[in-house]
Amino acid sequence: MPCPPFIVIAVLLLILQTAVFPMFTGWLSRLDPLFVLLIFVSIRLDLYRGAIMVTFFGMLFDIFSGIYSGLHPVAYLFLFFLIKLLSKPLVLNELPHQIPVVLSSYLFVTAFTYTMISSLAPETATSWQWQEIIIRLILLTIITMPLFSIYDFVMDKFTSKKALQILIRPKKGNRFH
Amino acid sequence: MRRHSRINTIKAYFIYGLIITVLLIIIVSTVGRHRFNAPQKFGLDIIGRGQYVATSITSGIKTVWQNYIALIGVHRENKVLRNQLDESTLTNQEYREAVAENIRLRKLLKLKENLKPPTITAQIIGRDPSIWFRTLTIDQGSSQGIKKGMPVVTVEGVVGQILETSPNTSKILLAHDPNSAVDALIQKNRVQGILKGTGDQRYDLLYILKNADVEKGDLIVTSGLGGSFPKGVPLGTVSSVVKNRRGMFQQIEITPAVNFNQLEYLIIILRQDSLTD
Repeated sequence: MPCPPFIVIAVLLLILQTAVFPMFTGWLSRLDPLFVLLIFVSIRLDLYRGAIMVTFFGMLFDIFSGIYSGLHPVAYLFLFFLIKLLSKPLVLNELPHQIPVVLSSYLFVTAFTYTMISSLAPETATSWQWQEIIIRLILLTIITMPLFSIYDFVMDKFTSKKALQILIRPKKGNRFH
Repeated sequence: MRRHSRINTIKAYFIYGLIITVLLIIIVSTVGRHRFNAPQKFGLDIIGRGQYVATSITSGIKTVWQNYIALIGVHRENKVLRNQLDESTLTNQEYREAVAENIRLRKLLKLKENLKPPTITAQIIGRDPSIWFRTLTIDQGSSQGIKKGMPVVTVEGVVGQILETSPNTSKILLAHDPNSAVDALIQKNRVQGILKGTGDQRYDLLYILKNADVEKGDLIVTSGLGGSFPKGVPLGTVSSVVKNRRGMFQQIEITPAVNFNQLEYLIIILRQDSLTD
């Protein structure tokens, strides 16, 4: 049952990313721990739970970012199915693949969003911002492995037998009576 | 045994198919919408409260820290500020005189002063973290009378327009977002154009003919056309003018009147009839 804790974490990270980090100028305002969570969920969760979670993340992000509804859920779902498609032949859930997967996924989502915006409103198209993207990629490289460890820890905690026993409380007394 | 596994496979396919169909229906129903639906408004309101708490705590800590840092070298700064205050008092007296004269002349000319629309002050509680969009979240919403399309300003000038509202929170499209366009005019010669956001800390002033007299440093204000913004609110100053050989128009870059990175409190002008309604 790892979905509810990750929903809570996603909401908290969204608040951090939109309300706390932007108050500090510089690198802190560019941190994107929610994106690492998105990739973690895409890799670790099964097909249907993962699809629901990434759509939820996208819809959540849609409220606070951008002006086109549905842009983030579509981008995240595309990415999710791409990861699922490549995860078997490339063993994406292994430790050495974490950083390359996060970075290439970030580039994919950024390019997808840019293409969508450019096609939805060609008159408002902006120039591709390599400098900004590279800074964010460097920051993602730094935070990916520690965050994956934290998310793995949370997942282990909530999928352990003890946690499941708390979540699915067995009825007392003799049920076969 | 084989029959059982086949039923399981069909069951799994059915569940996956159902989930994907539901997800697609949700996405298709939201793609391209320019208004928030009820769950989105609810999300904006609930998470907006979280943003408000987080902003209050962080800004509190930041203020305490900055006040502590500010104590260093305060004596030297105090001396400089006292000198500046003396100079400002003198200038202020001259201005007061000018204002008094202005009022007297207005009365003489029997100019009827326009009634200013009511305003509301709001605190910024969230910023758009993406690369491609420039939006903000504020702690006032439709319960306080805020509607989509209402202008948002500060004392320095135009900030943007209300994009979405929930009962206690609103989302603002900043004027430097590429999707933003404001009717503008050059203050000195009243030449009209469209001020467009670029995504950076600058605007582009479009549709100004080559024969129009525009120079670096000229003030650009809202024209009042389009009905969204009141007339004469500062937008920025001209930072560069390029006249290409080809084409009818000049390429004019504007430095915004407001610093979008240092915004904290905003003023929303509560107009009775928002044009987007």
